[in-house]
This record gives sequence, C-alpha cells and structure tokens, in this order.
Amino acid sequence: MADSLPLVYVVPVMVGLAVVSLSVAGLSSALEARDRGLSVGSGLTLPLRETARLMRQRPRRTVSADRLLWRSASSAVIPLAVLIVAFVPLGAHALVDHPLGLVWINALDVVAWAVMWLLGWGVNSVTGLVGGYRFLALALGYELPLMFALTAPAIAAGSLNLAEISATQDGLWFVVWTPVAFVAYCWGVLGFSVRPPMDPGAGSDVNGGILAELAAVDRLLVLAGRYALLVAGSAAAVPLFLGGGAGPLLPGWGWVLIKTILVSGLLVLAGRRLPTLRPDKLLELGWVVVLPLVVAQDLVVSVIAVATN
Amino acid sequence: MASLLFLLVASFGIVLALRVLARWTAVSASPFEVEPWLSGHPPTEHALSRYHARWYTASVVFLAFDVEMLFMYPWAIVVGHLGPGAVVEMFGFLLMLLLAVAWARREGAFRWA
Amino acid sequence: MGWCIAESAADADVLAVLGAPDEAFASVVDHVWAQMSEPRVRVHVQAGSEATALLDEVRERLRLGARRLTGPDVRRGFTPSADAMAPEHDDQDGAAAHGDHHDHDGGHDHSSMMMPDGIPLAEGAEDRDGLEMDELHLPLGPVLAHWPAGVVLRVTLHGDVVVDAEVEQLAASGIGRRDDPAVRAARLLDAAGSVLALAGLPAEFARVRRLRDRCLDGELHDGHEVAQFGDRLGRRRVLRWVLSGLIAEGSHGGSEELHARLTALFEQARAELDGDAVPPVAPAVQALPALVRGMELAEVRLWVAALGPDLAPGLADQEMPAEAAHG
Repeated sequence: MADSLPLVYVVPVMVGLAVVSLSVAGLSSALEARDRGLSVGSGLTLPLRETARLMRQRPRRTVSADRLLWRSASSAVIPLAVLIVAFVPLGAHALVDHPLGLVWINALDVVAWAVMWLLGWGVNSVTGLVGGYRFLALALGYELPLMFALTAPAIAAGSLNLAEISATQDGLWFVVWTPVAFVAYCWGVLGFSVRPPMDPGAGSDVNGGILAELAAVDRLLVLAGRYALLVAGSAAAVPLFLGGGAGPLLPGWGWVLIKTILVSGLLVLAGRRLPTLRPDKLLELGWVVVLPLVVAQDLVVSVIAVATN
Repeated sequence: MASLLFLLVASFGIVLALRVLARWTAVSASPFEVEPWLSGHPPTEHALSRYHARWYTASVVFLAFDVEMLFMYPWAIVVGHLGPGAVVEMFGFLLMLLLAVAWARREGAFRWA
Repeated sequence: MGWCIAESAADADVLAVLGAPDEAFASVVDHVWAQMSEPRVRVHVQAGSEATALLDEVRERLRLGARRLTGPDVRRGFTPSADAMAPEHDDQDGAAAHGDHHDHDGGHDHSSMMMPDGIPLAEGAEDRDGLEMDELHLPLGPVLAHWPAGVVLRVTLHGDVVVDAEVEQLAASGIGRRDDPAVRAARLLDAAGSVLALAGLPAEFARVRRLRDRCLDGELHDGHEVAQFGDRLGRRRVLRWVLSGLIAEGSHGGSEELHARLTALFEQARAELDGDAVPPVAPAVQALPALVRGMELAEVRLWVAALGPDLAPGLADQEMPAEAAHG
C-alpha cells in the first residue's frame, strides 16, 4: 500500500467523479432534448436544474417503510461509486493501491445487488418490490459473464493489482485481444449501475420499479449515484482494458479521465439506442451465449499467457 | 486499509452533507408520510411479503458457479508460471460446469414462464 | 426542457386534470395529489385551448411557490378502524421504530398486531407450483403514464405474475370529442409511442410523439411518413427480440405477438391517413382480465398500452396523467 496516492487526492478524485457524472447525465438529457426537438443546450444543463428541483422538494416516505434499510440503500449508491474509483490508478498510482484491487472491484459490484434490492424492498410498495426482484433476476444474468470478463486482464497480466495490469499493456491494450471480455464487462457496468438498456428494475413497464417512491434528496442521491456508478465502472475499464494512463503528451491522469469519459459516453449512447433488456430474455442469453463466449475468451488469453511466459 | 476506511467515511460524509443541505434548501424539511403509489388507489395490504421469485432455479445454478468462480482469481496470477497443465485443468473444470449449465438449460432452469 | 410525464406521484410536480372528473375520478385525483411532494401545483384544464397558458402559469407558480404550499404530514386514503389510525408526528427521519409503535401507545389494540399502521398484512395463496406465496393487489390506472384513459385494471399478483384481474372503466369527461381520421391516427400513434416508451426507447417515443403532434396539426397529408417510420422500426432486430414471446390470446381475433401489434398500429394509422382504414376486430375492455391472466406485470403494461385505442376508444386524447415539470 506504500504506492497509494496521498489522501489529499481524495478531493480532486471526488470532484472529478462528480463533474464527469454530471457531464454524462448532461449528454443523456441533451440527446433526449434533441429527439424531442428541443434545444440541446437546455438538455445539457438539465442535470443541474433537476438537482435544484430535487433539493427543493419536501422529503417523502411511505407508510410502514423500512426506513433504515431504505435510507441506507439510497445513501450507499454514491459511496459505492467512490470506492470503485478509489482502486483505479490515475496514471501510475491509485488512491488505494491494493494487490487485490480487481477482487475489490468485483466485491463492490456485488454490493450493488444488495443496495438496489433494498431500495425496492425497504419502501413497502408493490412497485418497488417487483423492481427490486427484477433487478436481482437481471443480475443473475450479467454477473457471471462480468466476473469471467474481469479475470481476462488478470490472466493476461498475471496480477490482480490494477496498476500492474495497466502497466503490462505496454503498446498493446488488452481490449485489442480481449474484445469479448471488454463487451461483457461494459454490459455488467450497465447492469450494476441500473442504466438503460439494463434497467428493467427501474423501468416504466413496472411503474418505475425501485425509483417509483423516491422523491427529494433521496431521489437525487439514487439518480446521481446511478450515473456515478456508470462512470466508476467505465473508469475501472481503463486500467483493465484500455491501457490505463498510456497516451501521448498528456499526463497519465489526463488520459484516464479522457478514456473514462469516452467509455461512459458510449455506454450512454448504447443505452439510448437499445430497448430495455427484459430479465427473462437476458438470463438465458447471459448463461447460454455470453458465458461460454467469455470463458472461451479466457481460454484464449491463458493460452497466450502460457505461451509468452 | 486505513485509506479505504477514510474514503468510506468521506463518501458517506458527502451524502450526509447533501442530506443536511437539503433540509435548508427544501420547501419543508419535515418528511410527510403517504401510502405507496398505486395509480391513485389506497393499498389493500402491505407490500412486504413472500415473493414468488420464479427464477429460483437459476439462482441455485448461479450460486454453484459463483463459488467455483472464486478459484479463478488465485489461478489467474500463477497460470503463466505453471504452464499448459494449469490451463488444461482449469478449463476442463469449467467445461464440466458449462455442461452442467447446458443440462440446467435443458431442464428449463433459465426459462421463466 | 419542456414538460414530461411523471411515472409516479413521487416524481410529479404538477397535477393537471383535463375535463370534468366525476366523483370516482375526483377521489383518485385527490389521492394522487396527497402523494405529491411540495412544491406542487394542481391545475384544472377546462378546455384544450387554455392548456398552454395554464401550463405557463404553472411554471411560474412552481418557481415562486414556497412554504405556504406545504400540506399535512400524514396523508392517507386508507381508512382503518379509528384506534389504529393514531398518526404520529416525528419530524426526525429514520429514528422511530415503526410498525410496532401502537403497542407502545398502551397495547389496547389487538388488531394492530395484524394491521401495522392500520393496513392488513398480505395473505397467502397457493402459487402455480403449489407453494404457499403471498398475494398482492395492484390497481393499474387511471392515473398512470402510458396507460389508456379511464381504464382501471385491478390485478392480483404472485410475485410479478398476474393470477387474476378485474377491469372497470371510469366515466368519460367531456373534452375533445373530435373524431376524424387525423384524431384516430393520432390515437394509434399515441398507443405505439406508449409501447415504445414502456419498452425503454425514449428516443423513438419522442419521435412518434412529434409525428403525432404534426398529425393533429394537419401537417401530415398522407400516411407515407407514418408507414416509413413503422417500417424502420419493424426492422430493429433487438426490439423484435426483446418483444418476442409476448403473446396475447384473444387480441384481435386470435393469438397475437406484441411486435406484430406494434407494427399493426403504424399500419392502421397509415390507413387512417390514407383513407383506406377498415374498422379492426378489437377486444373490448371486458376481455382484458382474461387477456392478461398469466402475464407478468411488465407484459401487462406493454399489452394494455398497445391495445389502448381499442380499449378506450374516443378517450385517448383526454389522457392527462400527473406531469413532472423539468422546467
């Protein structure tokens, strides 16, 4: 842990996460504005105005809700994103440079299961209940491909430390020869951040699901947290698949930032283009098609790792 | 670990700060209590209940696979040094698991309706 | 950035009621109003022509409306026995132990054991696998986004599967009785848009919505553009895959796939605009319970949206759900 960044860097990292999340949210609503024939500029600033709107709202709760669980869940989404980002090396070092950084990221993405399900369970509303369980059903479909996708860079680099994994991709980024793992990973990021098209747990077709009863600051924390999770997941993709801070001219952290913005922007675009993936469809696709493909990808990676060693 | 703990405190601190700030900015800080959203109708019972999770068979398959999956992490670090034998052993094992998945599919574990 | 439809009362700022609600609808509207967070505004639109001006005024009232708009702390429509009511006023979040607080009030209330906060607990029934599960009752409509106006479908759920359903139709109000090919086409496009919105394609929903507005403004002289849009959508493979397997028995004279129904909505709208429409053999609203039995909740939402023009003919243009201002 000697190589971790000094703790003062917590401030720029958190500010960066907030700014990138807001920008990605702005991109999403700018696209919405364009499709509705409204000014794109009004869409770009929408996240700020939505924040103001929610901060002004009177807090609301449902009768006999499990307030402790419900409030804990809505409070936990943003910290979850911050913790994921903490393991991402910004250049050579991360806030937390841990030998098992990759396993930590895996563990944190599973915490999202509990958080999203509790959001639906704690509220004591049919809508939330259905949404929460729908999220879990979806998670059963994306989680294993995501875990096997995470192992591909680990095998290739022979390490579970994100800084080492990132440094191993000297010249040739892992995304080039582990494209299947990269796609499965991004799929998982959309899943644990409950962003479209992986958001059936919060879909209009279940009356809003886990989001239905959220108002005021509770809603703000969850909506912002979803974007933060998307950005954090995209940031973790940078050392895993996209060469980390490697790139000309700019310092390492600059490239990490740019790549993070690109990945999360692409994920938002994909979300607008694709319809909500229903859990029953996805479960079978995930297990019968994607999982064998990702395992095959891991096989290719380990054969190459053995051959080059 | 200390830095992780610090981050945990800092990030929950930000959430708490937002919650406190909202008490000032909101038109009213006192929460109000309502019935759950049912298209404008009152509820006939509490929603917390025994839920019919129709995908329970899939969750059992998941648990089995998920536990096995943990072996992949330590194995990933050493496979480069251990050579072809380690690759054959691990993927032979995974192949067996995938066969089990194929069998589970045939039994309808991944279909809901 | 314009107005958008709120998915639930929690997310709504504005409650706009169009036309004159009867008693049953008025009580539903009151219930929705009670569930909305302040600042909130309620408007009653008497005639379609005044809607724009009213919404501008609403925007201003939302901006200025502050503490004086604050409503009561406990807002319940459920009326339990008098002693189970005992509303408690704790202004601190999360601190109070809930559910069992009546026992602290003196323990006189036997029924509160089974009725925390005056609402009964869910009760069991055998599910289709013979396991004992709890049943939940979920009324869908009338105030619901992407839902045909006036239709109330009360479903009984095991998990998210509908095991039983009852339907009722609330009385129509007296606004917007225009009925010509453009209005009928707009209704069909509304339904198609709702299906797309529920399927998670907000971009396509927005485009259909614009097409529908132009249709109502008389800017579409034939069905060409509508047909083109429908064709393009019909070729989207992922959409087809996601909607595949969603089959309704008894829709339009037989078993029908949702994707086919979606394409048919565009085709019908085109026919209306081209003047060669034939009245469809459509299921009546009474057929709905049988149609949705065995479906999961999301499937019910999609199907009811797709069948909207058939279920609530002549009502579609009066739909006015709670709206959220994202002004």
